[in-house]
Amino acid sequence: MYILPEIFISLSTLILLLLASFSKKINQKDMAYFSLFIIFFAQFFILKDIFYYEEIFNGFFIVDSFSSFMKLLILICAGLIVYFYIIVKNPVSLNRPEFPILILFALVGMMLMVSANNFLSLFMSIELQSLTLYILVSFSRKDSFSSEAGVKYFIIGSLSTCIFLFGTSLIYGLVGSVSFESISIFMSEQLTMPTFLIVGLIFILVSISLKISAAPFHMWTPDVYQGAPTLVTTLLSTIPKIAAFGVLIRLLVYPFSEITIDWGKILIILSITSMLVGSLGALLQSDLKRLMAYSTINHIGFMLMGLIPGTEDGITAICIYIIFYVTMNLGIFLFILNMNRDQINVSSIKDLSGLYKSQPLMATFMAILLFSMAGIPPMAGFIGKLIILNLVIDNNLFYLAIIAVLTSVIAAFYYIRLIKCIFFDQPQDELDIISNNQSKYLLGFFATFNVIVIFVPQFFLDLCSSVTLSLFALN
Amino acid sequence: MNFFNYFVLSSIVFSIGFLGIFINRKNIISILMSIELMLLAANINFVGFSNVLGDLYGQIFALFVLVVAAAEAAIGLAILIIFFNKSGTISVDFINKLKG
Repeated sequence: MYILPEIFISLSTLILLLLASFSKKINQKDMAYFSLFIIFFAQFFILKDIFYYEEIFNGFFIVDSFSSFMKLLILICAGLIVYFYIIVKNPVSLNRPEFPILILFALVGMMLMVSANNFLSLFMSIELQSLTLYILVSFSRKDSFSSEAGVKYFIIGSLSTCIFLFGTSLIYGLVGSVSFESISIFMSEQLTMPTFLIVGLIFILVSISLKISAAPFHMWTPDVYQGAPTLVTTLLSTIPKIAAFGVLIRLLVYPFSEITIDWGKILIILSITSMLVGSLGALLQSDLKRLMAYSTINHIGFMLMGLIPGTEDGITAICIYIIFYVTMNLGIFLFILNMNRDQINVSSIKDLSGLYKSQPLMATFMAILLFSMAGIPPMAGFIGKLIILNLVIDNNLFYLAIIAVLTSVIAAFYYIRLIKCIFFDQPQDELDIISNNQSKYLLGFFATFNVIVIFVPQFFLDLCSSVTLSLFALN
Repeated sequence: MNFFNYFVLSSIVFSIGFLGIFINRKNIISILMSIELMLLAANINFVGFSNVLGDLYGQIFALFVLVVAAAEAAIGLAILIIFFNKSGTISVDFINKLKG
């Protein structure tokens, strides 16, 4: 039973849905505890066959160590986000039992996404996650920002679906099948690549770029990040990005591995524009969530750089970068979730000023996370950047490495501006002191993780290179 | 009918839908209609190519797309209703609260 985790999560989510609608006694907190329990158990099912390789449902899905690793990462992130939902004081509009259930449905979609082995199953699973995310973004019905963000996200997301389908249909017309295996066989038999195939691939790449918000397809990101409830922003900036990267990697490395040079050029353009937009766009922002949106775009540009050579080392580097990126992002968003003044959630940069005077420990943790984001040496972010830059230079893409370093210098400016705000600005109007201990411990955990990674980089390298092996076993 | 005829037809429908999203200055309902048009363009491709190739897979794919399009329209209209309740308008010009 290789598909057991997905089946387990879907069935238990349906049971939770029935419980939520028929039982008056169960409130959203119990629901969140149940979901946490489900996510926790699903991890064991994945860990049980993490090194197996199997095509299931007539080649619709593939279970290999790469997909299992991605699923584990997604599950851990989702578990942490559900835990945030339990420990943080949420706005009233999120206190409905549907909220954790919707997260679980999105989770199933994303887990199926990373193991899809056929365009039909890929399409259905992408739809499962994006339809759920549209609802989550517009979840605060009383908030006009949230509903506006929902409308924007819905339009962009549907556009991405349409483009994906059109590209898929072109590939289907040419190859006569939509399974990755037959596309791979078809491509290896061609002497010159048909133009239609490359056009179809470009359509699909545009669609996935809209999902991972790589520039120039990033325009929805800041608006949606700012408008959505903060907890949903946390979700949007971590799990769907991991899943979409999993899809991108599998798609480019397995069926389209013959035309590495062609999609490499597209990825170079995408990553350069993402890094430029992500670093320059954030300079004048005053809202923390908007700033985090641009920082996401910048990091996505960095990750895309690792995929350009299409080699095993590159994908290992991306996996490592994703792990570090997720821990930094979850830490910073956990702090934003806890930023209250007089019980009202605030998220502007000015609110951070003088944090060091009122809460020195939290300020230190934030500083560590922000330094890590900027890529200052002893932190985790530096190791991720180092590995990717090393790889890019090994492949003789010097101009790309230079642009990457220059843009991360610019990006370091706005992270360090936040640190200056925390440590040296005079407090205008102090934030409420973080009262729940779990948040403090978790923030401390994320910060220590980012510090101690420098002592055990080999562990992460070994882990990620052992899971990426399975991707190349087929070619 | 060969491969290319279907492709030209679907490209025209797709382009109409695509331009409908970006040139549209009136309301969000017409954006939803444009999205449906684009999904149908992909469906024309699938069914047409399935005819040319003599392969059933494309028709099955088209059925799946129809189901998803229905679900997407339902969710889109629900989000639109929430937006309308809050802002009292569905005009594209008024979706401008979030910017920076």
